[in-house]
Amino acid sequence: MNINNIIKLVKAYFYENWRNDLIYSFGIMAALSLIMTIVSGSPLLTEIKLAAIVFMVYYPCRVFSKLHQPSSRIHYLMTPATNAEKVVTGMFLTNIYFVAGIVLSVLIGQILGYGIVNMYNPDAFALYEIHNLGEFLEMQIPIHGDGVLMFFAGISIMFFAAIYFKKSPFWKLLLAGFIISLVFGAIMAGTEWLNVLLAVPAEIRNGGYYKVEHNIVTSSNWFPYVAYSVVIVYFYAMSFLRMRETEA
Amino acid sequence: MIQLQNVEFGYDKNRKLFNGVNLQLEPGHMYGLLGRNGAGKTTLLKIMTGLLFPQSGDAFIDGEPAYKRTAQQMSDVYFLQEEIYVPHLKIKQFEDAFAPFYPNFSHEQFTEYLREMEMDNMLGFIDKFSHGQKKKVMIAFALATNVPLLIMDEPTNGLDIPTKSIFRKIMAAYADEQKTVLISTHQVRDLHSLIDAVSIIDNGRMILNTSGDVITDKLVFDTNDEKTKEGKLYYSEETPRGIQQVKENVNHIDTPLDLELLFNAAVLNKQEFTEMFK
Repeated sequence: MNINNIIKLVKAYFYENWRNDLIYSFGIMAALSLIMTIVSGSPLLTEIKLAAIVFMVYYPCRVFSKLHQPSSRIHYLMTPATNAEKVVTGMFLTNIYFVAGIVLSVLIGQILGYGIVNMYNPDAFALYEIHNLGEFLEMQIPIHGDGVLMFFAGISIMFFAAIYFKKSPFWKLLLAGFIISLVFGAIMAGTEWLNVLLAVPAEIRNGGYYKVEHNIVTSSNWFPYVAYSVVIVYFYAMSFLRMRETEA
Repeated sequence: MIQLQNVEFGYDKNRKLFNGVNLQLEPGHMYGLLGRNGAGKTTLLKIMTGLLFPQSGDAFIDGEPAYKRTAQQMSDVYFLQEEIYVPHLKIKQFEDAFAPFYPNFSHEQFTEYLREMEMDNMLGFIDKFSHGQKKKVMIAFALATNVPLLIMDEPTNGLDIPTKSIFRKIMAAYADEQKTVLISTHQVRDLHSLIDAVSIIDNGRMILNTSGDVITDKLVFDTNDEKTKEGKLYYSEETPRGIQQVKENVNHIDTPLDLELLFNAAVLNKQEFTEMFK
C-alpha cells in the first residue's frame, strides 16, 4: 500500500467534492443546529444529533457515488491506485473526515446559537445547569464506547453496501439500514441475554437490582465491543473483496 | 504490453460474445480495432484493461493479470471512453486532481494540446461544456499523460470536422517507439492515415491482428475501371470513381492500406484472412 496514492485519491476527492460537502453537508448541519439552538434554547438537540448520525451513515454512498454510473465507474476503477488504497481512502473519508466535519459543524452551529441566545438571555440555559461555554461543550458529547462502535459498525455496513450496489443504492441502503437495525437489535438483545444468563449469579438476577448493587464484570462490558468490532472488520474486509471484484 | 489468451466472454451465459480471442499489442504501434456494431469492441477494451473479467482465458497488462488492476498497471494505461466522464471541475482543477497519478504527465503538452484544439481559454466547469468540448479536454489530458498504452474508444465521435483534422495531426506527432495506441472506431476514414496495425473482430473471433506492412504485403487495395483478373479477388465495390477492390498481392505492389475495404474483405473472407494473417 502506497501512502502517496492514498493522498492523491484524497486530494482528487477534495477537488471534486469540497464545495458540495461544505454546502450540503457541513453547512446544512451547522445552520440547522444554530437555528435549533436559538429556537429551542436547549443544548441537547437530540433531533439534530440523530440527523447527523443518519447523514454520516449515509455518507459512504456519496463517497462511492462514482461507482454508481458506468462512465464514472470506469474512471474510478482506472484511477492508478490499488483496490486496497481506494478502500482505505474511502474509510478515511467516511470515518474521519466526514464524521469530524459533521461533529464540528454541529458544534459550531450550537456554539454560535449558544452565544446568540446567551447575549440576549444569560439565564436561558440555567435550567440545564450550564453557566459557561465549557459546561455547554461538556454536555454535547456524551461518549459511550459501545455506542460509538455501533455507529462505526453502521458506517462499515453502509460502506460495503455503497460498493456492492451499482443501481438504486439509496433504496438498497435504506433496506440495508433496516437490516442493520434488526442485526443491532439482535445484538443488544443477545447482550442482555448473555449478561443475565452467563454473568450474573442467579440469586442476584432474581433480586432484580444487580446492575446497581453489584460491581461485577458482566458480559455487557465486553460483548458489544467484540460484536461491533467483528462487524466492522468483516464489512471492511468484504468491501475490499467486493472492490477487487467490481467490474465496469 | 497487452496480451489476451483464449479469452471467452459473454454477458449472457448462453451466448458468448468472444470465443477464444487472442491478441497481443506491441509497443510502437498505433492499432485500429475494427468491428461491426455490437461485435464487442468496447467490451474487449474493458477486458484488456481489467475492467471486465473473462469467463475463461487470460488478459495481461505488463505480464501481470489485468484483473489485479495494480497502481502500476493503471498508471501505464489510459482508457479514454466513448461516453466520457467529466467531474464538476475546471480544466486546471482537473489537471491538479488527476495528473499526479501519471508520472509522465506533461503540463506543457496538455497546455499545447488544449491550445491546438482551441480549448485553452475555456474557464468554466468542464461538465458544462458541450460534448465535443468535453471530449477535446479529455483527449488532451489522455495524450498528456504519456502512458505507454493509450486506449481510445471512438475518439472522433462528437468532434467537429476541423477538430478531427487537428486530432489526426496531433496523433501523428504523438506516436513513438515506446508508446502504443489502440483506437477502436467505426469511423475508419477519420483515422486510416494514422493506423499502422489493424485488429479486426467479428463473430466473437479475432480475424486479424497485424501490422499494416504485413497486410499491404499480402493484399492490394486499388481502384480500377474494371475488375482485374490478376490475383484472387477478396472484395470489390462499385463507386463513382471506379471499382474499388481488395485482391491478392501477386506482383508485390505497394499500395496504401484502405481500412474500410480491408474490413469488408476480412468480414467476407473470415477463414482465409485468419489463416493468411496467423
